[in-house]
Amino acid sequence: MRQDPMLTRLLDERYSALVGYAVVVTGARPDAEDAVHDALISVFSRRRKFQSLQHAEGYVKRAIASRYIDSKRSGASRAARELRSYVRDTPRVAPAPEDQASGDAALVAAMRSLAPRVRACVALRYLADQSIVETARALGLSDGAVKRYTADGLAALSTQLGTDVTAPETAEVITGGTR
Amino acid sequence: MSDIRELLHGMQRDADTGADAPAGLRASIQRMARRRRVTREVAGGSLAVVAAGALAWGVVRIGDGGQAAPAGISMSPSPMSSTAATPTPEPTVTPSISPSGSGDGPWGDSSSTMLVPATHQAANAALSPTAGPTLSIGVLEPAISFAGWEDAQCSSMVGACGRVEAPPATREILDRVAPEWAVVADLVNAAWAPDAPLSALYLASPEGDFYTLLDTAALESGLGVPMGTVRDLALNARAGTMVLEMIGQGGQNATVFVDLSTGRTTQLFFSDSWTTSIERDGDSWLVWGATTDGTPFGARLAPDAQSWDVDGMWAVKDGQVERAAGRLIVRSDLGYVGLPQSDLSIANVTAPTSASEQCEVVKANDDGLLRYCATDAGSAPAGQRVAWDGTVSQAPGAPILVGVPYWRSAVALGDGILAAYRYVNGDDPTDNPDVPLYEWYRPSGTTVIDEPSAFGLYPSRVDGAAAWVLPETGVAVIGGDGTWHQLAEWADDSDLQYAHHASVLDIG
Repeated sequence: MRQDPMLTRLLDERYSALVGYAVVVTGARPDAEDAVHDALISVFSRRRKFQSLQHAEGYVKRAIASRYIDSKRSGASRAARELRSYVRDTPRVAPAPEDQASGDAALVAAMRSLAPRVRACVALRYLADQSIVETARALGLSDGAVKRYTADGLAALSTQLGTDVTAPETAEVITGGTR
Repeated sequence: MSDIRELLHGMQRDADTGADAPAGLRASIQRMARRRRVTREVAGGSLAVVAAGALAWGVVRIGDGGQAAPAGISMSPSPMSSTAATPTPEPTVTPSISPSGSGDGPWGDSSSTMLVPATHQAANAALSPTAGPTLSIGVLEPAISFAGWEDAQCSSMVGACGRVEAPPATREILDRVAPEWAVVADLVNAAWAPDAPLSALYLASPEGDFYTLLDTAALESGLGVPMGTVRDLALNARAGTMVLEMIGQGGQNATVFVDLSTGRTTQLFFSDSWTTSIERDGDSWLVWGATTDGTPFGARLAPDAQSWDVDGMWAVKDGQVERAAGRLIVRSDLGYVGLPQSDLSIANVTAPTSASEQCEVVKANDDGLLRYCATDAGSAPAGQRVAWDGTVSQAPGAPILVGVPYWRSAVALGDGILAAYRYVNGDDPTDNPDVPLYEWYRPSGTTVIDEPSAFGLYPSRVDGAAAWVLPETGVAVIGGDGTWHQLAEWADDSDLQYAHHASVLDIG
């Protein structure tokens, strides 16, 4: 069977970068590699045409986030009660003191401490440079939820990193749109 | 102070080790993508067949509906040409819209291609309870058959008959003949390599065997243009006929009628402007779509493609055509119009609704449609009823002004409209973005479900009920009586709040 040339190019030229992006989204390299794998399968199981490598990479990045979130959601039905208990009773992981000695490690730990959807929103907004609307569409969230998650994420990162994490941007005005 | 973008890009750079993709990953992705594609297409087809079964249709169209694309081409309602074997029929009606491309052009004036589907005794034996020259298929349509699939014809015209030893490499289901039978295209990686497009159409059996249905090389030799892909297809297995909407490699579209038993082809349209959907309606065909300048059209084609009922040609800009409640619903920048499927007469085109409103149709039936409209600023969204004669009435319920809506959506619920929208206080759209307001417009009056919530609520339509996607917790379905069910939930501790919310919505 013939190899999709765009898939070939993505794997040859951008695989490592995609994993790097996925590490930000998932918080861990094994999860990241799985997320990239799943996203590539998802994207290339449909007959999409990409105008460029950049276009394809952007699409896969959105798929990484959405697939990752989906994977978190799918398990929730059968384990909802356990997860609710876990969420209620278990404090989110705070960065260990030794991690804070290293900026990178502290950031990784801080990102890992975010809830998956919050982390995905932050990654899509500020790493993939997606708009609120695009982020909402990719993750199946409302625009308002994206705003809130993003704001929550920045606040949490600020707290955990001990510095004011900012993201100056132009406010998006939505008028009369529908999903 | 740290810039989040710099932090994240730094984190990404650190995680980007430059490592190559693991050996075997490529093949794994390719293999799983292919498997998922086939699975999804089969599943999608099954769903469509279920829907079609409910409507007692034997053949289901699988594919996209017509959609507009920018261009400037006028309507061509009667560009019919036919094969050499069949005289060109006169269209029954020629609308006043100026024709274009009435048979000559890149697709050629007429085609005399003889297309004979492959058949074989073995194929017949495999497909029919009793071996013989008739290919019988059917669960939805008992006793449907392809007539005239004689071995001699097959051998003389096509050469390679019967079951295909090497099944298509890349398959896409284009139509369903029965729940487990499908018309399958061999795309030869068409999506990935536009210069190597569709090569053939096959009939796929439940056992996974493939039988040549149409050799597209023969088809394109008659049309004179390299085949790109089949955009839509409807197969009348009982009559052994098929209507194809094709896209040539040059981007031209053509709608072609194929008589599988004789090989006769009739070019119904040719134009680079048609974006057509085809659906069987009994033994005739409904063909509708929009030209690339956004001009919707609809017409009924006789079973043998010898005549058109083209009364239903109409023109509105930037439109799309959908099908609902036995009507073709034309949506345009001017609003909605609906035509009864049984009578596409232009006389039935109703006055479009106001162009100034942003409306979402939530329900359509024989009486008209229910829609929910909102303006960008300053006025309230409202539920409205629009009769098919164009009469617009404020119904059900009355609009309630609560602020400036900047997001809204609505679904049909019972005999009314359940609407959700968000509004802002003051000029800052981010001031209070997460406060949706829910209203249930009912004939008995509007019920306001004013329950500020920090959560989004996205409705979508489900048969007979409204489904609301609750981003925080899952999917809820509200029955027509207002009862509430949560079908799924995902991890969050907020569903306790939605339990409260459910009680608010439980107002039936």
